[in-house]
Amino acid sequence: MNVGPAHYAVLSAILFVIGLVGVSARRNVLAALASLSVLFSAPVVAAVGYAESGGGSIPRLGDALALFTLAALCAELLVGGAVAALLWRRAETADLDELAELDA
Amino acid sequence: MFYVLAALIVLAALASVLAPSARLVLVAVMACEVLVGVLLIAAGAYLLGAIATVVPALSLLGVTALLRRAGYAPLLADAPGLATGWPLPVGAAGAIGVLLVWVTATRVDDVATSTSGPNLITLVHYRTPVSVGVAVVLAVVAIAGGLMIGRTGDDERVVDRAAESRRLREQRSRLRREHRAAARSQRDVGGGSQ
Repeated sequence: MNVGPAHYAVLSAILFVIGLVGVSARRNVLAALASLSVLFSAPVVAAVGYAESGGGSIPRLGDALALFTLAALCAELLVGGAVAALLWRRAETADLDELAELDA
Repeated sequence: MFYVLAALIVLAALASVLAPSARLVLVAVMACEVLVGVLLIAAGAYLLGAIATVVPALSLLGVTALLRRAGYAPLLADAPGLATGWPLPVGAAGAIGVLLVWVTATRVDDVATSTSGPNLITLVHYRTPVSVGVAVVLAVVAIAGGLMIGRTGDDERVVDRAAESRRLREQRSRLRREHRAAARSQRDVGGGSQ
């Protein structure tokens, strides 16, 4: 059975949903950050799968978009990790519910 | 090959959402990113796959190395589970997922293709050096931003030292109070028995 753009798109949708659940439902700041990484992987899979399966009229555009998404993923990990460390230093908690109460 | 990798990616992603400790979460998400990179290589995007395998894993290792330093260890310990009111976001994500799967699985072949060239995305066009340059600039800015945000300044070190000495002082005075109270109660018991 041939693997086409639809297969990559479905995998991308599943990853997106798993990441979205993690971001919105986890209480730990690092766990939410990790779920955000999973969420970021979804468009990478979709763009590359679509480009490599011969879809689209612009050659390699999917690869270029995936590269941007990967750069954004790394930026999110590095800046998010630094923010998590900063929050821990200031509030000594990694619980998003507690941090929201502190903010209020 | 695709199905095996897809199943492993989904399992790693699920583990990253459900793992009970932050350390396990980071390991699972690293496995997920590496597997996505392998999938891209298997799909034929060799360079991008290599980048996707190595760069996010290195970023995660950097974050883990930062958090393994003294003072951040509790951050990598047990992570609390789901937030209060989790059924609502899970339900919303499930609905979005059903919509995405339905649209992408049934309509992906109907995507209109234009023959007039890239009209909307003029920045990236399809010149790889431009997109690589922009991605590198973004990564460098992220590293610099992360270092700026996560660094410990001189004034913060002074404040941390003051807070630590105050904590020790308060601990010593509490222990003294407890000892005095224990001695007084012993004396009272002894006096009462005589």
